[in-house]
Amino acid sequence: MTGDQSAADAVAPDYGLIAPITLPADGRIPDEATGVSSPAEYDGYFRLRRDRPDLQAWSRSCLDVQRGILADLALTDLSAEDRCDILAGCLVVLHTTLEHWVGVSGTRSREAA
Amino acid sequence: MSRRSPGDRAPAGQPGPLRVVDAADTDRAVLRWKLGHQLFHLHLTAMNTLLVDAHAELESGHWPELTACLDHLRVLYDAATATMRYASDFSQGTYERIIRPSMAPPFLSPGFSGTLNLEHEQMLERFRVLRRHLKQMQLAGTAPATVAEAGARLWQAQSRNRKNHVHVCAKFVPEGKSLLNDYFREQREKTDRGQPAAPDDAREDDV
Repeated sequence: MTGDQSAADAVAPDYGLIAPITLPADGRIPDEATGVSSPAEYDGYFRLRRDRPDLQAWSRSCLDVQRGILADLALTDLSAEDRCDILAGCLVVLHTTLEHWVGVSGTRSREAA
Repeated sequence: MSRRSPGDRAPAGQPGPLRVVDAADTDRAVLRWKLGHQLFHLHLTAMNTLLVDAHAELESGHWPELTACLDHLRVLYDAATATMRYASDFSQGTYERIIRPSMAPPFLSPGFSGTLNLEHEQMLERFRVLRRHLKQMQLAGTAPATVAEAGARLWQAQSRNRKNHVHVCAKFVPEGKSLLNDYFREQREKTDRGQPAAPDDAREDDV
């Protein structure tokens, strides 16, 4: 029994009237491919961990991946345009993340005042 | 240093020479394939965030903010396109010997596919909704021309992405055989031989 199942079974009080049901993790009715491979297997293959990361953990992931890309980009056969597009994308990801940091920081400052 | 790859097999009944695989080339391919996909997921997550923001700006009629959102989404779409080229920046031979087998049994379950990418599915759905709403506003004449122009740039980026996906698939799998389709073909063949099989249908998207 998984931790999630234990938690579902442990929810009270429903006086034993209700049994847990199984729902698809992707929120859709299983089709012919479901149950063969799965989103969890996809995530495992590409080393994607799904939880509820805070802004710091998300930012660390951005830095780790972008550091790896920056170290390898000059060794690729990609065109200058492709490299520029990748770097511009990295910039927007970091820009959007910084805006969230500023928002969080602003909220904390207002709370502290 | 050299190593054997999962794809190096001698013909049945023959000893066959070992194929020497360049370890550095293999490492580079694995790194680019997986790190490139991780970057793709960062882009997708940022896109999903901006798509939610864009929807809110549209609902509020904040046109300059909506235009900025659409332009950032366009940059991310083009980045995703180039990132897929980065992820596949290695030879077809390495794909056949190393990468493709790594996504198939015994390493993974049959039917492994790009359709299992959750962020991509979410992004496509949010994109469809945003496009429909933008179109309605354009028809009603409520959105300014700058929004329509930013939207047009974004759809062009999406079109470039789809064309690139076709090129990447054609580079590695010239006959367009996806792992998912392979799985269902094998199931059909089992059925033809009288063995139990999964239903025969397939989705086209491969990783």
